[in-house]
Amino acid sequence: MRRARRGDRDAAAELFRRYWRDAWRAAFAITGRRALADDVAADGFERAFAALGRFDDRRPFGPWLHRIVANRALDILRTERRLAGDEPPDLPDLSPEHGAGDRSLLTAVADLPLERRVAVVLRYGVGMTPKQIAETLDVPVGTVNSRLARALEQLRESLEVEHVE
Amino acid sequence: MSSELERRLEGLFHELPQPEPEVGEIALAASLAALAPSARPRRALRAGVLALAAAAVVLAIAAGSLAAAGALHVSLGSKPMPARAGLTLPKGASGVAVVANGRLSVVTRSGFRLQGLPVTAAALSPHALFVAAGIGRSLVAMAPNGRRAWSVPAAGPVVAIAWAPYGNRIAYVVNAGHRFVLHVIWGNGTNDAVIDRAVRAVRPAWRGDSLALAYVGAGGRVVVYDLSHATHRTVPGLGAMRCPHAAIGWATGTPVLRCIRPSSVERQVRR
Repeated sequence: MRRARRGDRDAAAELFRRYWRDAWRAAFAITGRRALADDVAADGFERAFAALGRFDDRRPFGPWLHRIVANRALDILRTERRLAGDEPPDLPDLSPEHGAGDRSLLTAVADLPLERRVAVVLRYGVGMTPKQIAETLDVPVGTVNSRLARALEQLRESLEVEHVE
Repeated sequence: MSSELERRLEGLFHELPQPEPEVGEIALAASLAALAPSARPRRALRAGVLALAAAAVVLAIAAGSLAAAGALHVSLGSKPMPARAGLTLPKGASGVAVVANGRLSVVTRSGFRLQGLPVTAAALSPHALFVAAGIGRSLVAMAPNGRRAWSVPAAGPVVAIAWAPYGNRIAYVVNAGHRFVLHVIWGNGTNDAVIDRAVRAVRPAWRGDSLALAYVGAGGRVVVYDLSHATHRTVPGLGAMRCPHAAIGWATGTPVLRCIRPSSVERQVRR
């Protein structure tokens, strides 16, 4: 981390390789689209590397990077939503290897309201604590817990409905 | 205590798709370009630098009006180039952008220097304050500090880009799989519009007043799109000749449209 901060390209490349896949997956889980995930994750890394000189290397890099990626994804999706009105979101791009169970859960996650979806991705995908999510999204911890609880409730309902149908 | 649903969610994210390897490579190069300058000594290849700059200038001059307002854009073929070669700024130019073997090198008078970024196409803004590049499946505008000013997703790789002389519009051609599509977008990355859904992968050319755009249609005929009236007109002289793989450009300060092949100027038509 220190070497990367000093501008060592090899160290920075190592940092990239360590975190790229997780950052991309977080972007994919939030946006539900490969092309958008490519763009959001790449943009997140560019912003992170451009600001690396100001990063406090006593803190972990991962949460900081995910904060950038999550906020970038939110910005893009909010802009898109504003432009598109109330059109329903696209279904996530799924690869054929996903089984029916995963597909239904992923579709249910994609159907969550944006703020709840982001909280779920950061909690269960990235592994952040509610406190870290609160810092990332700049909201109170209580709001994060509330979003998570409502998201789980909505997911249970969605899966139950599908099960019955 | 985790519920079954929470455990399923954790498992779900571990089984999400992987990013494409080439996307990672492009993102890595772009991220490293955004990194603060390295402290290590630069491996300057003086001879390569001079040769590349000379080649850039010669090709840019041959392309005539493809160079707009002091910003030169040159695309070299698929022959491998020295990976670490750099660029020097030709006298009088605001900037130079060269795409060689799929890698972009840029140097501008303002100090912007970018090297080795994998792109599908690139073009400098008229005063070389920004560079627009096709990265992955997006059109990206980068500010002088190397950071993205904006990016817009595209239906495929961007294969040709032309920045209007006034800087207010960018024309770009997207490889949408079975066809090439011409778009025009505002210089700030908004108001993207499709101009023609079937064109050739030839870099469009802006007239000096930024109000008309020449491009090669799917049949190989040169078409002029008038932005003021949103109308398309084929150019009889050039259309009859066809220049499917050539470059087109407007002669500086005149309403003359040129169809240029690598070896010579083939034809000029007054518009």
